[in-house]
Amino acid sequence: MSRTTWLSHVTVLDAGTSAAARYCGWLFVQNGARVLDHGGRPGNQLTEATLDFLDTGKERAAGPPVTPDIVLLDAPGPAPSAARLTGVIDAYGPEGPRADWAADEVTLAAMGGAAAYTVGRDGTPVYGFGLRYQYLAGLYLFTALVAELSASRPGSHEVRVSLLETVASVLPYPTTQYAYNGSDSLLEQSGPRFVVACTDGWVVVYAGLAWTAITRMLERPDLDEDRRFVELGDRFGHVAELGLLFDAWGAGRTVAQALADGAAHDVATAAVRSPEQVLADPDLSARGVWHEVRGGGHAPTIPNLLVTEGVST
Amino acid sequence: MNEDLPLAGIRVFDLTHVWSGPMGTRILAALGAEVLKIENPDRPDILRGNGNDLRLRYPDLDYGDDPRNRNAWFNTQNVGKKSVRLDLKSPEDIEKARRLAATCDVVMSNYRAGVLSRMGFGYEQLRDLRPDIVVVEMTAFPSTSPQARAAGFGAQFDAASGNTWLSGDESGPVLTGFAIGDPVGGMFAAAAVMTGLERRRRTGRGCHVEIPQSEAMMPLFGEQYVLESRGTAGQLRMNGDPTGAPHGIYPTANGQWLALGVHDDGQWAAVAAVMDSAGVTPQPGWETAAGRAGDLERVEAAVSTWLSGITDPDALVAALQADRVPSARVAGPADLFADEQLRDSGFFTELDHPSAGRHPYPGLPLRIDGARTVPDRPAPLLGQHTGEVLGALPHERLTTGEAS
Repeated sequence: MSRTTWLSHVTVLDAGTSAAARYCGWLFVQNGARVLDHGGRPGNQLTEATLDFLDTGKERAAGPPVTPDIVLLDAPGPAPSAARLTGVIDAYGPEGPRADWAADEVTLAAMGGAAAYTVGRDGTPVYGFGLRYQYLAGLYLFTALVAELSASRPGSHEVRVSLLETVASVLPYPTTQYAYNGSDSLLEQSGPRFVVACTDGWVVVYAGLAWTAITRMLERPDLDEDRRFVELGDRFGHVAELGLLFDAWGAGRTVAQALADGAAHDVATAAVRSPEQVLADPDLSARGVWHEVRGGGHAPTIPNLLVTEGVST
Repeated sequence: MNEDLPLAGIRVFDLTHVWSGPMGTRILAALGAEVLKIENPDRPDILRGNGNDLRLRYPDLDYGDDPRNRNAWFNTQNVGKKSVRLDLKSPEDIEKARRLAATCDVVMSNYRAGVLSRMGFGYEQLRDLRPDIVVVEMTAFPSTSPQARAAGFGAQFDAASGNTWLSGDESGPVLTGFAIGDPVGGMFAAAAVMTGLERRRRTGRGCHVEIPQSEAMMPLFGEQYVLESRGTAGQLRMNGDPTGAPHGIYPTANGQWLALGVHDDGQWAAVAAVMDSAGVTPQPGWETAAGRAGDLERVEAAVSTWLSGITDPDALVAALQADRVPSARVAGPADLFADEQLRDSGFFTELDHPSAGRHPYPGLPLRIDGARTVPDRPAPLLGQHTGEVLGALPHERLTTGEAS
C-alpha cells in the first residue's frame, strides 16, 4: 500500500466535527494534500484514539489566514472560510422530515437497513462496531470533491453527502427486490456464508458456488444429490442444516487444515483474523501498510498499491 | 451526458463484474462519466443471473423470456451505464476493444491479479494506445502477496481485515450479513480513479493503481488498530461502543428492534425521563457517563426491560429524537422502501427498464450544487449500446501495441 503525493497542490481546511468529515480530511492527508485542522470541537462519538487516527498529518490552523481550495464541514455549518469547493456532511439530508434528527453509528445502521442483515447467535440484529458507515460517507465526499478538482470547473461548488443515504447505498438490492416482487426477505442477499469454529480459531466459508466442491471438502459425497443443497435457492431454505454440516467439519480441524481443504476443493475460505493477527502479518508490514499515528500506535494507510505513475506524454 | 456533473466527458472502459467493481463504476457514472460495460455475449456479468438462480431477484418472481436483463441486483448496481458486447477472446473483438479502449480515459477491472494483462488490457499494453490512461485494477489480494493469484469474495475480505472479529464478542466472530467488503472495495477504487484523473490533469500522466480488496476494509476501523498497537484494546461487547452507555439494539414488545445510542448526559436525561414515566426508574449515579459506564450491565438491563414493553417503537423514536437522542427502528426492505426521509428527499429514482418495467432504484448519497446525482438511464440490456458505441469508433486499425 502507499500514500501518494498526488494532491500535494491542494489545501484543505477541515472544520468538521463528525467522523465523516474528519475521515474525508484524513483521505486528503493520505493523498498528500495540506490539511489544516480548524480546531472544531469533535463530536461525542470520537474517542481519543479515533481522533489520533483521523487527525494524524493534519496541521493546526494557526498564523495568517490561508485561503483553502476546499473547506470541509458538518451541516448546518457555517463554513469558516470561503473556498472554491465546499464539502458538507448531513446526518440525514439537507431536506426531508428527519433532516434535524440526531444520528450515531448504530442508529444509522438500523435506519439505513444495514443492521437487519446481520444477526447474532440469539437473533439480535448486529450493527457491527466503530464508525464504518460514517467513514464511508467521508469517502464519498472525498471522491466527489476530487472529481470536482479534476474537472476544474469555473466558479465555486458544493458537494453534500448524507450519512443515512450512505448506509442505504451500500446494500445489495433490498428495495429493488421489494419493488420487483414485494419480498421483504434478506436471507438470499446474505450468502450462504458461515463462520465456522475450528479447534484453534475460526474460518469463514462461502457456500454459494458448486455444491459438489463443497461436498468434497466436507468429505460428504453422500450429499452430492441432496435436494436440500444442490440448487442455491434450496440451500437458503436449509441454511441452518448447512451450517451444522460446516460446524461438524470445522470441529475436527485446525484453521490451517480447514484453509487447506478449501484450497484443495476450490471452496472460498478465509481465516478470521483478530486485529492483533493482522498487525503481525509480515506481508502487510513489508508493503508499508502501516503508518504511525499521533500519540503512538499504528493505523492502516489507504489501500492503494501504486504500480506505476505513468509516462510523460 | 449531464454536462453539470464533474466527470462529464470522461469515458470509462469498464471490465468489472459481480458487485465490488460495478459499485465503483456506478459512482463514476453518477458523477457524470460515460461508463461502457464490456460484456462477453456468452459469459456476461454473472450478476445478470441465468434464469436458474433466485426467483426473488426477478420482477413478479418470474424469470421471463429475458432473465439476463431482469435481475434486481444487476439492475441496481449498473444504473447509468452502457453495455457493449465484446468477446475478449476473439481476435476480431479484441481489435475492436482496443480501438474502443483508446478512446477511454479510465480502465477499471476486478479480476484477480494478472488477469487484466493476460487479456491484453493491462496498463503496459494500454499506455501504447493511450499514454495518459488511468488504470485501476481491483485485485482480490495484492499482486505482490503470497495469495496474489487467488480469487476472493466479500466474506474473505471481511474475515481477513479484522472486521468479522471486531463485529463479534467473546462468544465468537460475526460475519456482516451482506458482503460489505464488496462495495467498500468499489468505493476506494472510485476514489483512486479520481486522484488519478486529478494528477493527470496536472501532469498529463496516466497511472496504474491496484486496490487489493482484501485490505480495503482496514482503513474503515483505523482506530481499532491504534488501540491494538498501543495495547489498550478493550473487551468487545456485541452492539456496544466505548462512547455509548446505554448503546445497543433491543427487542420491543411488538416484535421489532430499536437501536439506541446515548453518548452524553443530556441524551441520558431525556431517556431517563421517558423510562421513568414508563415505570422503569433509573438508579442514582447513572446521571453521568462515568456512572453509567461503571454500572453498564444494570443500565443495559434496565433499558432492555423498558424497551421490551414498548408497543409502538416509531412513536418512541419520534419522542426521543425530539430531544435529539440517537434512536431508530431497525429497518428491513419494506421499511426502507417506504422510508419518508429517503422518499421525500428523492433518494429513489423511477426508471423505465425495457425488460423489468418501471421501478424506483436507490441512488447515491451525493448532491452537487444542490442537485442529486440521479442516474440518467436504467441498467443496460446486455449489449444494448454495442452498435451505438462501436459504430462511432474511428475505422483505422491500430498500428501500435497490437495484442498478441
